[in-house]
Amino acid sequence: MRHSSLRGVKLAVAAVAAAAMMMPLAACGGDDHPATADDGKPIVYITVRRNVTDVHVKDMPFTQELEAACDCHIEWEEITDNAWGQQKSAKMVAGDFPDVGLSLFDLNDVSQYPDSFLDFSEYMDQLPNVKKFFEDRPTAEKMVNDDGHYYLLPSDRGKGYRVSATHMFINQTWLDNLGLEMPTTWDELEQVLIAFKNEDPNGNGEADEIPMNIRDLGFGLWSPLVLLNSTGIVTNFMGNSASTQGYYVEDGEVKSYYAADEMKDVIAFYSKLMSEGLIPKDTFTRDDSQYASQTQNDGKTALTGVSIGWSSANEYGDLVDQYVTLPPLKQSADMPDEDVKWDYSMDATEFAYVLSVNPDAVNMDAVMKVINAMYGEKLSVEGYFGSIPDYVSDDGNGQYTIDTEKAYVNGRKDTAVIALQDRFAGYIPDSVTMINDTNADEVTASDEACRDALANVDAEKEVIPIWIHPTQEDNETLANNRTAIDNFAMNQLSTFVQNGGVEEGWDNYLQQLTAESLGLQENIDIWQKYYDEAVGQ
Amino acid sequence: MATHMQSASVAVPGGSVSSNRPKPGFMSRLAYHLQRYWQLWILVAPGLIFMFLFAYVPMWGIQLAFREFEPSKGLTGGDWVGFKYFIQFFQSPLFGQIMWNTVRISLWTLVMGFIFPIILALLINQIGSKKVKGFVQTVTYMPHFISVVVIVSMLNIFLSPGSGIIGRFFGDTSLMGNSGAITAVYWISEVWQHCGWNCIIYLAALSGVDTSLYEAAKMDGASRLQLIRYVDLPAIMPTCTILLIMQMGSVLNVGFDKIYLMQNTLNQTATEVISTYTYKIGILGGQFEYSTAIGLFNTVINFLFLMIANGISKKVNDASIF
Repeated sequence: MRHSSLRGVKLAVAAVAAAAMMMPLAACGGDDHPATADDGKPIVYITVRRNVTDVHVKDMPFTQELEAACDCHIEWEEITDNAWGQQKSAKMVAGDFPDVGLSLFDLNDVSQYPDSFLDFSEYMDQLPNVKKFFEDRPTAEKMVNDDGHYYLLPSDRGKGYRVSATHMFINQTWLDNLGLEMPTTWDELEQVLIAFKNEDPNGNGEADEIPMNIRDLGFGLWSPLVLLNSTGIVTNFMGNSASTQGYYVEDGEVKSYYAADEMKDVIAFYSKLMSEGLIPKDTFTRDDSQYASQTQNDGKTALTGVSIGWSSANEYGDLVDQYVTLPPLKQSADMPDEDVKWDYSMDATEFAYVLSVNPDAVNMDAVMKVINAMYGEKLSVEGYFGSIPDYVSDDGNGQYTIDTEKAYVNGRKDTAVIALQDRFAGYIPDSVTMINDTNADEVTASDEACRDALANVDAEKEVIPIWIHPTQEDNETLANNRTAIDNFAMNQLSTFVQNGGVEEGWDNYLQQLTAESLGLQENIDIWQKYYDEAVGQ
Repeated sequence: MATHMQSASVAVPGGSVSSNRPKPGFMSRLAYHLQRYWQLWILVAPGLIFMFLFAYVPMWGIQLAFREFEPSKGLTGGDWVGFKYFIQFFQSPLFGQIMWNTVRISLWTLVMGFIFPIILALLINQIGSKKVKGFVQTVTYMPHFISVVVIVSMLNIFLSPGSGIIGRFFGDTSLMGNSGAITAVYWISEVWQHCGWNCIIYLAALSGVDTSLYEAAKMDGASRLQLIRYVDLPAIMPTCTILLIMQMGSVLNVGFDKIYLMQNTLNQTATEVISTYTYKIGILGGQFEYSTAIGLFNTVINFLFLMIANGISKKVNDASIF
């Protein structure tokens, strides 16, 4: 009796323990990937990050063409931008890398997980299309070249996107209504903004105009700090570059935007505009959604006079016809024309880091065939803009026309729903001409007015190339220092803009900024080291 | 806790144990114990297994705080670097600011979030009509169910200068951008949201007060305030102590989501706390070892606070959680 009940206990404990052990196991198992399909053809697993997934990649004719080219099956996994942002770190730690990843990883990831990225340099013979791409586009090659190894492949979306990513716009209709000239200097801009504020340019009888609208201070896309270009300092506010971390080069010397006298001028200017009520006082505290409601409003009455963004159509929606690009301003009237620069972000706009391969991929030959096919002209066009002939027609001689009726769905003015768009891997050469690529046409139109200023930029001497990539260790130092520097400096600059006091406070700010403990000089030294190496090449 | 265990073991059915046999070995004692109480062990088994799997097993990963993280070698495969990341955190120029922000915001929230529910419970308890009482209770605990994202959006709207119902009284800049006011914005909104919910437990304690105590006190001529002071407060005091001790365990825990959502460039010198810093360094920057070290430091401090509060309370008024 006693004995049997004891065994009962043991059994029960064992059963419970076993059940508990099974739970996590069951959760992990079950997603094994077969290497070949039933028909004996290899399977290639591709994960792509997309911003819309209404139409799945596997349903696009593009996939069938790829499969024909590689004589294999492709299993797509699509992941949204948001989901990827949350899963990325965990997936990498878990070693969960797909055979082929599109738009998933950047160079920081490569330096952190070097063993999880295939070195393409050993496979270049199997990738003639990529080889040709690198010959045609040395910048793209340099972006991924790591001592002769390639751990990522870049994409090139063609000449339609060889533009600065940031433009400043002004409401031409308002200028006309008030009989004003296009401003060319900061002072003239201020006068125009004052007129916008006081003279009811939108004619609705209400003082609801927002003369100038800006986003948060920062070194990223569409930052109001692009006004630094008016002072002769070049910015490159896109992607992951020295500039987006706050560094620039002048006469071969790397410097920080934070510590520049020119920064003081820009901040003082914005502070003045804000104190005069020309920029909304709640700019730095409001919800992001309010920005769009002020620039686009109801699509009928314009509320915004000047703002900074990608293209006028993107920034103002239905009000696009009222706006034109404001040509880069001079800081003061007496400065020579050639000192006016503009945001030199065309490389980051045209090229992107996209394609990675897991070195443990089983069907490497098939993977290489897929990749080579992707970088061919026709499949590049199809990957970005949509399948031929369903959405895009091949007119011959490298000209392709997008059928906007079919391709632009869900109210979008691009092909992100029915194609991979900017998440594609491929190379669209200059011989290709795209008709009806609305996004490119709009941003190119917005870019025209900046071309003179962009021509003033000496890319060799005034821009830290975007293809410089520090080592893992240096990146950590840079990042840790940057967290502390940004925390202090961005806060100070925002406070200066909001509450004034630049003139009195600047010296004190500089003193704290350059304190050794903050690590600004350490970061400058690191970038200087890499810049010198890059120039020496 | 201790008294529960005793009463449980007393309640187990079974005959008396002979006291004069020789002391048996450990294994046989264990077998005997299991044979007698195996039902109880089965009862707690799911909880124990859960705790072991999800609280103790993952603790193996704590050693990451002392190692160089190398993804290819797994969480525990990197080189041992000792206290490198702790020292790095202590020497970081942000260390002082982060600690001060964390302690300031969490202490304000903790103290105010402790006092106000008690006051509210005592007030609600004074309401005579059951209907009114139920209505007030429902209205006060409703905000508890609003998600943090919505709360922060509401704060933004309430405080927007010119048009917000509160913002219009504070000039042309939003309090959300005022590093001096952000702590108050944080704890007041926190108290407003959770006060009603947190007072429920006190109301439960108050409803258990013997009505004869009130009658006796009234006979002695006690006023309303004196009733609260001499009957209600002592009745809920043990509950208060336990809750306070438990809250002390999270003294360095400013919840991540709310403060992160409230952060902007104007107030970030006052809102950068341990959790947001860990997020920026660890998740965004990918430095898992560094953020693990910061997290471990945070936990150790919390644990110390919990122990100290528990010890003091044990000495002073004999109420403690262990």
